[in-house]
Amino acid sequence: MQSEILLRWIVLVPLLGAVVNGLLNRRLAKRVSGFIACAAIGVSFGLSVVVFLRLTGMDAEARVVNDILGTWLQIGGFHVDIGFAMDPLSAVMALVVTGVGFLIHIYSLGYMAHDDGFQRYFAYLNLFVFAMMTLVLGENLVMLFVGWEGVGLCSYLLIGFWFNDQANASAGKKAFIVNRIGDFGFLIGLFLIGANLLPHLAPGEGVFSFAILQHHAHLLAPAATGICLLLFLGATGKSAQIPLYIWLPDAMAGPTPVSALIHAATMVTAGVYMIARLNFLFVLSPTAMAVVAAVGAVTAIFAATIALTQNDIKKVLAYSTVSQLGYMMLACGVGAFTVGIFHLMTHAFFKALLFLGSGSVIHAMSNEQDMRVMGGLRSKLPVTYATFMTATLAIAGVFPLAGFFSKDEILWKAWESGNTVLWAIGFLAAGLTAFYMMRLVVLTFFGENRASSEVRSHIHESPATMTGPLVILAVLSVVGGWIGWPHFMGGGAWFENWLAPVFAVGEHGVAAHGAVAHHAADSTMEWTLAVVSVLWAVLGLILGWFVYYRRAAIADSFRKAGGGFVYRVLLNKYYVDEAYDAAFIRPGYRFSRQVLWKSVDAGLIDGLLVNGSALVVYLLGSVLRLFQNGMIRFYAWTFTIGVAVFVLYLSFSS
Amino acid sequence: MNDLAIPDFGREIAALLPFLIVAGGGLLVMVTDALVKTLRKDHLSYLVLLVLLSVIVVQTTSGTPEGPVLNGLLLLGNFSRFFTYLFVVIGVLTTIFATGIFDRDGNYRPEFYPLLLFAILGMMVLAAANDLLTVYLGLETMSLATYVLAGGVRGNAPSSEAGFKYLMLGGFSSAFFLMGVAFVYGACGGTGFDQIAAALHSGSAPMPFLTLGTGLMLVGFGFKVAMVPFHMWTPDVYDGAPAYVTGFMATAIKAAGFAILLRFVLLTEPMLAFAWYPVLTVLAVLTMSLGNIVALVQGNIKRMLAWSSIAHAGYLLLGIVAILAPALGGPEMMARAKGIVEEGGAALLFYLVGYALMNLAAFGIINVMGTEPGVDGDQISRYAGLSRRQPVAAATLAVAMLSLAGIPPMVGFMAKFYIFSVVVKAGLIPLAIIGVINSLISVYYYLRVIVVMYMHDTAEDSYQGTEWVSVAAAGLLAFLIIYLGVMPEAFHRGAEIVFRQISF
Repeated sequence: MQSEILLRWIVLVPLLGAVVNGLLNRRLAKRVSGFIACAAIGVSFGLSVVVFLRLTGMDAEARVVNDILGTWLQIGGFHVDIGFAMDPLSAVMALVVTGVGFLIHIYSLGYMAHDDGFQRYFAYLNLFVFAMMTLVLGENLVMLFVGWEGVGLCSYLLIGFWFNDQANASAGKKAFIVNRIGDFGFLIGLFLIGANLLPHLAPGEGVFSFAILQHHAHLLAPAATGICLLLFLGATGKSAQIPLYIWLPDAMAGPTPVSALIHAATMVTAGVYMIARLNFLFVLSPTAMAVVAAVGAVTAIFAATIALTQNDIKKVLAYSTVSQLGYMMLACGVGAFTVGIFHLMTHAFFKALLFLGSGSVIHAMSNEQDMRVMGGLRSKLPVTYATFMTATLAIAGVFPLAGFFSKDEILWKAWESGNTVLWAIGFLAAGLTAFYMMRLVVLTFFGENRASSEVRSHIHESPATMTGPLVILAVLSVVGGWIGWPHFMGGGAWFENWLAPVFAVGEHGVAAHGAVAHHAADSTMEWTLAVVSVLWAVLGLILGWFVYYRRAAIADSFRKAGGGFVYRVLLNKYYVDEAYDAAFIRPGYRFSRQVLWKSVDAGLIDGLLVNGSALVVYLLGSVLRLFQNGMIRFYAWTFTIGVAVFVLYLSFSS
Repeated sequence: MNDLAIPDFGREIAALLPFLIVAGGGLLVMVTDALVKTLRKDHLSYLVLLVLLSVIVVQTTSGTPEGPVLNGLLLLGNFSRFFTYLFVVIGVLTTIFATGIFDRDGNYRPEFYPLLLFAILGMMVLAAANDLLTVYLGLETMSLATYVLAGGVRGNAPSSEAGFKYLMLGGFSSAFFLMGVAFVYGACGGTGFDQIAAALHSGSAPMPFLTLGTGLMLVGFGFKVAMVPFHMWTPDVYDGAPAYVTGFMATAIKAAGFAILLRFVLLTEPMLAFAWYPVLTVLAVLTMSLGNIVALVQGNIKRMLAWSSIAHAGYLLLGIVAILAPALGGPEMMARAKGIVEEGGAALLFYLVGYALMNLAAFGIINVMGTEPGVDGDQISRYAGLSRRQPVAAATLAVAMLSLAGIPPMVGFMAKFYIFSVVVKAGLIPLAIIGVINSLISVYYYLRVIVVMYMHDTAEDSYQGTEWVSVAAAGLLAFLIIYLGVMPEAFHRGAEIVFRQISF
């Protein structure tokens, strides 16, 4: 293990940017503020690259660098350090977060140029990168949790960035509250780890340090299922999985670059990262792994079906994100952590691109997000269109774009795990993905423009600060998957080799458990599945094209003929929000209002306990202060009486 | 001849160098002020700062000898050095605050500077004392200087009243203290701590005299740290004295008082824990409860902080009670005793430092808020809207208040956390609960200051401080408050090391 002092600066420079922008705020010119924010992330990215290059120079097994700033807490045997560590896994995350983050910062310069809260926006955005890097580079689970809460806070602040609108503020609150449920699970998981591990540790060993955890993972085996399921509850909150995914679509209320950075590329993948990071723990519990895989697969198809019918361009992308996160969870659940992270990375490229592209469209359409009044933007926004199309092909999984490699690999691993149902669900969702993405592209970029003439006259391509990042991300969406070019296609699978040391225990663990029967891992099968899935994706795309462009009437007639019920269910997102509302929120609200507020809070607590005790204490204080009459004689008397009592007591007691 | 060997003179001088610098510095400042007629007003403050900094330099670099010096009158080591650092840093800040006010008020008090140095000298002696006579010497040097500091604003009635009250009651308590010393001397046949320890150990000392004597001495210490029922002077004196002196008294005198109390408790604990423990338990609870309850109804921030300082003395006493508890417990408790005593001592030292930071930050701001010469900014209501007029000053005061209330991530939280966790470890869970309830009550009056600053609108008579050096210094303290609240561990461990040297 080597020490690397640069690590702390990767994390701290964005914080510095946030502090400067936050403190000086309006006193900074927009240009200066934007420059500081972008430079901070740029520096952080540069440092990440430097450390990453140093890692590549090391032996594969020894690729860890540490930067321990000091002991944070030391209470008895409980020891937590403030420290950062970069291994191959966190290196990938760091590069994705700072790299994509940097592009989105640049993009924001253009997107937010006319906003009053420009400086505040960049302060939040830098703060977010700080928190995310703490999460990613934290040397122990507690640091990870600090970052976890930090990104949650930034997410809340940015969703509600335009807080003057009640709906935006509510969306922020919804995200925050739903995430609290997940974090509650996460915290209890954390406590359980501590409680199970602490008695076995030598003094000075940090109980939550990942290295120590991995070393002592076997001690946690008896409690592993409970711990992992609780941690996974946290992950379903942060990574928007069933049952806690409901906050993410609403989170689209924030500025679009925020949706791209936080709610597509980085923060929402934190749950996947956490599971991958604790792979050695999750593989101890086949039950937990099965739950992760099942929840991931179901979420993937569930969200994909909802995406079919949404009319708000960002809502489609939001459900698509939920669906793709499901894929990542599925990969982790079948023990293919490498592939989960691989998809996390490629997804960061093309989904960030899709969101930024949609931002460009929204920008051009004078803040209109409804696709029903778009259309025909292809010629007016050529760069946006070209890049958006690239990303669409990438997410659909067309060879040789980035999405193909990662998604195909996930499906293959699901097949290989022997669970054909999981594979089938994933396969079906892949087709749906291609279909709804094509629908989105057609409705937005093809056909006649359906906007009002007022809006139509303002349509323009975005400035270079916005199109530049689009182009770079488009290139990454094409070539980003090539580093994982699989063996059966004659590639080197560099990505897999890179992460191999991190997941050695985990992926080996799955194999060793023998809980799953392996399909024969022959390359013929792999080829067959790959070709089938590409064809399947192309079929989805063509179908989407056909239904929404060539024969636009088909969709309508489907809706009218018997399909109306299905359509309504999907359009209303399976009525999950309504169901939660009826099952939890309204009863909870009624209970809170009638019982907790009116009787318990207002009556008992406020009336009797708070006001009552406050009144008593206040009266007591008012009486006691009368003794403080300023008379020195009286003071001396009290003194003497005190001494007398004191002396009497002492002489009797001895 | 060997027992009466002439002490190694060079070693003694080297060991005493910090004391000599402060004493000599005080004289030098006095003489300079009298003889040099061309002094500008702030020149003396530079001289004082120079003296204090040179103490730090000497103590840090020269590796001053450890162990008893002057035939065992003083005991030097990590413990005394720790407190010297604390007193000197408090002295530096007090000098900065005072000088800023002299500048603004035109109410120049050159005698302030030497008196400050003499008070610090007394405190240093107190923290290093190893003999009842040096305890008394230190106590009186410190007290006499602070009587004058508190009462020395000429022509200011509240200040004079404060000084006079403090002097009268201080003399009163000294008399009790001296009587206690006499009893202990009679019982043990000596005044050196070593002799007392030996007498206690051999069991030759007659118990009634011993308990009576130590009890009366406790009255003396209790007076200095504002323990109920010997606290009555505190609000009047804190209120009447100028804010920079109040800040000094609230932090340095309390630290010095607890330093010697801690030494004394550890010295007599094996024999006398049974007598001290119930008394101190009751007094600790009374002290913190009374302090917090009466603080609730204060509209004057200096009086509020005076009562708060009483309450904090109560929390600190909890730490002393925790240290005493194991000696009374069964064999199971005895096995853990060493750990608890060490943790308790470390918690007390940490608390004293944290308390000094937050109180100085608060008084530093209060000091500059007054609008008329000679009157401090002490009306809470007149802080309305400060956050808009002076964001840095308001934020600093807010941090100090949050820390005093014990809210994370401020140092006040960690300090309370360490104390309460030792109390729990010593098996005194009810006491910890009482402590936490007290803490809760205190939140109300601390937060009220923040509410007024941040949520009330500026009124016509709202304060508007102008002196920025003090605000900057207090702001630095606020930063330290947060830093030590987030990263307490290194410092806490340092405190443990410091304490270990005197504990056994």
